Amino acid sequence: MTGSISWVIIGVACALALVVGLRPQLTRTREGKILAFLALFIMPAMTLVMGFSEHMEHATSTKFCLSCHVMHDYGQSLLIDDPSYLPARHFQNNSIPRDRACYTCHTTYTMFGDVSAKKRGLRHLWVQYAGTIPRPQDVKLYDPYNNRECLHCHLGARNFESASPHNKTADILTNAKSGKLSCISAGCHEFIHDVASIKDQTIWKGATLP
Amino acid sequence: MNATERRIRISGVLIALGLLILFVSLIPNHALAFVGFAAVGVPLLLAGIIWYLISLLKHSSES
Repeated sequence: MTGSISWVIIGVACALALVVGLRPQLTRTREGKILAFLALFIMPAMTLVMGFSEHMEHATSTKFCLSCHVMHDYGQSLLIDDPSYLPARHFQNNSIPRDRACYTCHTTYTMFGDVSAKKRGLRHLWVQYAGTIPRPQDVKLYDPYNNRECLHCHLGARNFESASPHNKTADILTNAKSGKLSCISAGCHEFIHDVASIKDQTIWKGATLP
Repeated sequence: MNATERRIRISGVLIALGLLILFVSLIPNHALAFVGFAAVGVPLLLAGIIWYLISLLKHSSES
């Protein structure tokens, strides 16, 4: 939810712009000119930046991500009643904040990445509202999943460093840490958002999506 | 009301509308709200600001 200070600033800016717009005669005095500069330049420019920042904050929420139709099954995959599914295990055990579930593991996705990622984000919005929406199972990551997203929480944790599958051979952890071996490669944590089989999965009723 | 004041009136109304859309777009947490902000709110705000700056330039050149 947007901070109350933002609401107040936008409300004040709107009221000031309306006052100056409806009573432009105010600008005949020096004080009126200052008021107009404040109401028609400083405040709108400030609220524009603030509004964009608030929208970016909204875009980190699970609710925002799942507001696109194609993401519905990805949301459902967080509720699969099977701990071998990595996103479900993280979501259901509060290993990630439920209201920021997507963004926690996809930090560079669409609007939050570099310029090309932002362009993709805008294209996704275009496809959502004006294009042909793909099937959920046809949605793929643009780049291979980066181990960094796992390591920023798990690196140094005892259950990560000393887990017996991670120490089966000497180089597993080294390769995972350097990114040579993907955490989600076959034989490791390979069950992710398996949306193609979501209808056959049992859904855990213990939590609801935000 | 002179020409500068008329331009300021247009600028004020555009900015107020843009801010109203920004205000409304922040209520729901939905992708469509962002689209509304980016496609309608931002152009209105920018148009209002630019129109105000143009009115200042025209006013100084007229006087």
